[in-house]
Parts: sequence; C-alpha cells; structure tokens
Amino acid sequence: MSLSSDLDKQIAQLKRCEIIPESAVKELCQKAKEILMEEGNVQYVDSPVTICGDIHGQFFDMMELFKIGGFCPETNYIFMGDFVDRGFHSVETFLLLLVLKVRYPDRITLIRGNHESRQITQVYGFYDECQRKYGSSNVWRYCCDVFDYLSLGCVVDGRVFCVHGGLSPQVTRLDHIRVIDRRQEVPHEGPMCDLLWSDPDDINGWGMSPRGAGFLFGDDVVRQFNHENDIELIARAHQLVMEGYKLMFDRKIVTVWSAPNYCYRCGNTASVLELDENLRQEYKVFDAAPQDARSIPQKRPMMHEYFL
Amino acid sequence: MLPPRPPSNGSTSKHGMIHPDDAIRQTDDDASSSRASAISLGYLSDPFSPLLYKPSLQPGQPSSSSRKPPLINIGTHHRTIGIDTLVNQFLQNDRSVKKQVVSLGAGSDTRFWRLMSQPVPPNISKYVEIDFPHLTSPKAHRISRSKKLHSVLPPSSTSSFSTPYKISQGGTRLDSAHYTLLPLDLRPSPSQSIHQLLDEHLLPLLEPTLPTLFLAECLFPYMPPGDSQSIISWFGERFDRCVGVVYEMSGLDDSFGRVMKRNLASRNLSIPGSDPFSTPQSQAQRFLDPSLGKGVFEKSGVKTLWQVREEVIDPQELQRISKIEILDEIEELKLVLEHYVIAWGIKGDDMQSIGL
Repeated sequence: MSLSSDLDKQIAQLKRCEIIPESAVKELCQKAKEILMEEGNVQYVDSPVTICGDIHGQFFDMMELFKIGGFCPETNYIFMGDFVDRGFHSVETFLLLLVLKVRYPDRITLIRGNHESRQITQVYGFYDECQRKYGSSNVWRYCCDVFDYLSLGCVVDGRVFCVHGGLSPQVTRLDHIRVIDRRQEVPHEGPMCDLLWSDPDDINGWGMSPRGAGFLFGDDVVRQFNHENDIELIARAHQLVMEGYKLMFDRKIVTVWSAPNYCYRCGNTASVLELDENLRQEYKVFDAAPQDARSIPQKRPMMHEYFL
Repeated sequence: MLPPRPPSNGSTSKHGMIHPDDAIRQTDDDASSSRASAISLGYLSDPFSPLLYKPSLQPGQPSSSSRKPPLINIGTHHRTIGIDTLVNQFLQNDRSVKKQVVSLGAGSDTRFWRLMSQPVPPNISKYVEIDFPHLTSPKAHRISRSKKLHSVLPPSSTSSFSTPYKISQGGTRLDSAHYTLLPLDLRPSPSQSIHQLLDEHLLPLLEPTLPTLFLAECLFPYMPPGDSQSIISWFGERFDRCVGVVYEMSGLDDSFGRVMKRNLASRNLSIPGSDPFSTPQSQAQRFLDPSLGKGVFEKSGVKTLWQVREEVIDPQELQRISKIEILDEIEELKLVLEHYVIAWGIKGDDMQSIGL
C-alpha cells in the first residue's frame, strides 16, 4: 500500500472520530516532525486561505468548521494553535490535523498555541485523555515532541501576520522571531512565551498580563509593529470572544475564536476568517454541533462543572 | 412546581433517570468535592472537610477527577472568602451580643467547625444546619464518630447528656447546646405552609430577640421562587435583627445561562428558582420586595463572584493563589464568575454596617 493511501485511510478513520493505533501515531508524529522541521519559525503562506483559532479538542465542532469552510485540501487552512485540552477529543482533533499536515503539507499550516506544551496539557486534560484512550502516556509524549517543532507564526502574502497570542516587547521585527530556537518546551518568559501568551488590551504600551505569562499590549504597539513590518492585519486567537471574532485597534488586529460553546459551557459562537486572493476578509461564524450521544462520552472528566 | 415531598427511597426511576430529589442532593457532592479539591491544592485551609466529606465513587469517573480544573478551584475559593466575610462581619458585630446562624441546605458544610476552632470563637448561642434527612444522617454519624468534630461542641451546663450531643430521629438529627443538625425538607405540603413548617421545626431552637443570620448557598434555584421568598419573609418576620445571605447562579437568560440550564437538565436538575433573577441587582432586590410584607428587609446588596475577586479579596491573596496553578483563560473565568452572585439583606439597627 502506498503512503498516501495509508494516510487517506487514517484521515477517514479520524474523521469518524476513531483513534488510530499507537504504532501509527508514532510513525505519523515522526513524519510530521520531518515536515515541520523544514518550516520556518514564521512560515510563509499564500492566499487564499482560511484562518482558524482555538479548537481545544472539540472534535465535532471542528467538523462543523470544515462544513462551513470546506475540507482540506480543497480549502487552504491556517490553524493558530490550541488544538488540544479542555474538550473531550483532543487526541482525535490533533491527530486529524496532523495527518492532514502530513498528507497535504502545503494546504494546511499549524502554528503553536500555549496549550501545545507538556506543562499545560498535564493540567488541562490532554495528558489524561491520552492515558485514558491508549493506556499509557506514549501518545502524549509523541505529540509533545511534535509540538516542539510547530511554527511560532506565519505570514499570509507578506501582509497578514498570524500568531496564537500576540506580540512581545522583544519582537519589534519579524526577523526577531526567526532567530528564536523554537525546538523546546514553551518557556515561562521571553519572546517565544510572549508570542503564545500575550493579549491586546485597551492600554498604552505594555502591561502585566493577568494570565501570569506574556504581556498585554496596546494600540500603539500594534500600530508600530504593523508599520515596521509592512503588516496590515494581525490575526490571533487565544481569547474567548462570545461573537466568534473581534476586531480591535482600527481593524489592525483581530481575535479569531473557533471553539463554539467553549468547554460545552460558555454559550459562545465561533468563527473562521477567510482571506481571498486580495486579502479581503470574510468572517464565517458557526455554532456548536448538535449535542448527541457520541459528542459527549460517558466518561467526561472536567466538564459541565458548575458551582452548585 | 415540585411535587409535595415525594418518598425518598430509591435513586433512579424506572426510566433510569436520576430522581430529581437525588439529583439535587448530589449537588452537595459537587460543592464538597470542589471544596476538597481546593483544600488539597492549598487554595483554602480546612482541617474539617476530610472529616465531613467522603467523595462518592462514581462509576466511570477516573480517579484523577478528585482534582478539579483551576477555574472551579478559584471560584470555590472566591465563594468561600465572600461568604466568610459576611458571616464574620455579622459574628464580630458587637461581640457581647449572642448570635444565631441558620444554614439552609448545609450539606457537608464545615463552617460551624471552622468558626468554633478559631483562637477566639464567636459568641454563638445557636447554629442550626438544615438539610434533607438523607444528608443529615451521614453527617450526624460522622460528627459522633469523630472526636475532632464533636469535641468542638461545647457541653451545656444544664445538660443531662453524657456526651455533649444527642442523636435522635433515627440517626438523622443531632442536638447540642449550641449546634443542631436538623433534618427537614423545606418544601411546603398541602397541609403545611413554609411558615408553618419553620414555626414548628426551627423556631423552637431559636431566640427571636437575638441577631440571626441565615445562609442559603445554592438552595433557592431548585425551589419555586415563591417558596424561597416565603423563607426570606419568615426570617424577616420572626427576627427584628436579621441578615440573609444568598449565594447562587444568576443572570441565566443569556447564552451562557441557556447552556447551563441544558447541561443541568442532562443531570435531571432544573432551576426554576433562578428564572426571576436575570440581573445581579434583582438578587439584591429579592430582600426588599414588597411581597415580603412584614418580613421585608431594610437594606440589601449584591456582588458577583467576579466583583468579589476584583473588589473584596486581598490582592496579596490573589497573588498567592495565582501561583498554585496556571490559569490559562481569564475571559472564561470572568464569564463564569459573573454568573454567580452573593446577595445579602439586612434589617435591624446594629446590622447596618454588614455588606461586601
């Protein structure tokens, strides 16, 4: 059997939300690393492309995303990180994206979010899910190794900068990202940490982040960065927005959020940003998949929790 | 409307659904397991929680479920600090006057033991905890079995008990000089209104002239709104100096609230008592509602748990707990905490300074 038909089989299986064997995951992760290794810290992407924010293991909601955005490879995708944690199906979600990456490397770009981290996934569910579904932490380890190879950002047609969190006081030029040694666990501070953790806010300059990592950055910082790097829009994810997307600072930065009814609790809508070949923006909003028996497994850790 | 006091035997109906009463009782497990998680991680300190609460083993739940997500631990911390603040204000207010506390739907709550083990315990004449017999029974048992718990109960000078407490009503009730665990279903029956129910069972334990605080943590949402207002008016009518403290979800007519109702419905929980309270202000207003008649309160206030975080909790304490776990998401925390409120009502001259 040829490689691509193997991959097509895995795609079909994962699209049904069925996991693939541990040995297949190991092989897939190895191939993914070889592809990602070749990519830059800031990857170049051509329009037209559809940009997606956080997914957080909400597999059936990601299927809704593909329904409104088209499947890969017909649609060219950028996923801005936070594929895992929180939702019920981080394993299936990440592995489907990864197998698409290996099958169609030029039609999907995966960049790293703050949850693509050994430390965070041990608190927010991905580690437990791997243990539960495979009986060991091997799959978690293979995936974390891949996380270390993910790009830190990408630029569409040289004009739209995509990053999971935001800017860093140590990154005034895109070139400053290119010199980072990204093959490591997400550090607690420094430019790599900031790119994955920071948030825009209505302040001047830089501020302390309430998240305890990264920074808050204001209108002036964005204006300066975009001017200096000839960027017209920063597309980022990382923050829940109830309406699915939120433009800020005179449309110079946008938050795209792609996890509808986040954590099966928040009641928000989600969106993707479609950029056509002229970089015209169209936001497509979508809601959560209908809740049925298969979307909520019987074993449901950390979900539907309230203060009762 | 809830049916009038259905029999409480058996936990599942023939349809395999959890009986609504049992679904409500299981909410105590939510609160207590959240508390246990927050304590074990160091958000809160409470040596009594492990003595009063044993996690119920749920089939299919991984063992790691004893550790709650950071958001739940943080919310549990904020809820506790907010309510503790009001209760302490009440108890510290003119310490020469004896106080009474009634905790409605107390479940496995440890507040009485935490208060009485302070270096200078408050001047409490009576502390009453009320809940379904189903929940008071294990609690009475645990108190009697634990020296650490029953040694906190001070012996009465006039008591003829050989122990500082007496257990009755088939092991569901525990009385001591200053503490009573009262098994009581607070729903009215065709023959007995809520006022009559409380007059018969609760009033004999209390002294109407003493300042009295009642606490309803996540209780009223499960009742028809009229019933909770009857409880509030009863306290307002019977006690000249009174403080009511209500903690519950609020503002559920948005998409977050609709999802919450749907999720709770999947556990066979309905919360009809939250429907009239679409804003935090409406929770404060429930103490001043003219329909309370003679039981109306004089002053009231409310804060969401997010406001408690921003305005009540010491920034140093927030700094301390921020180091316990990585909180990945502020927007979600704000969204969730804004849907819970602590509301209070006060009446009586020397109660006026109480509030968050």
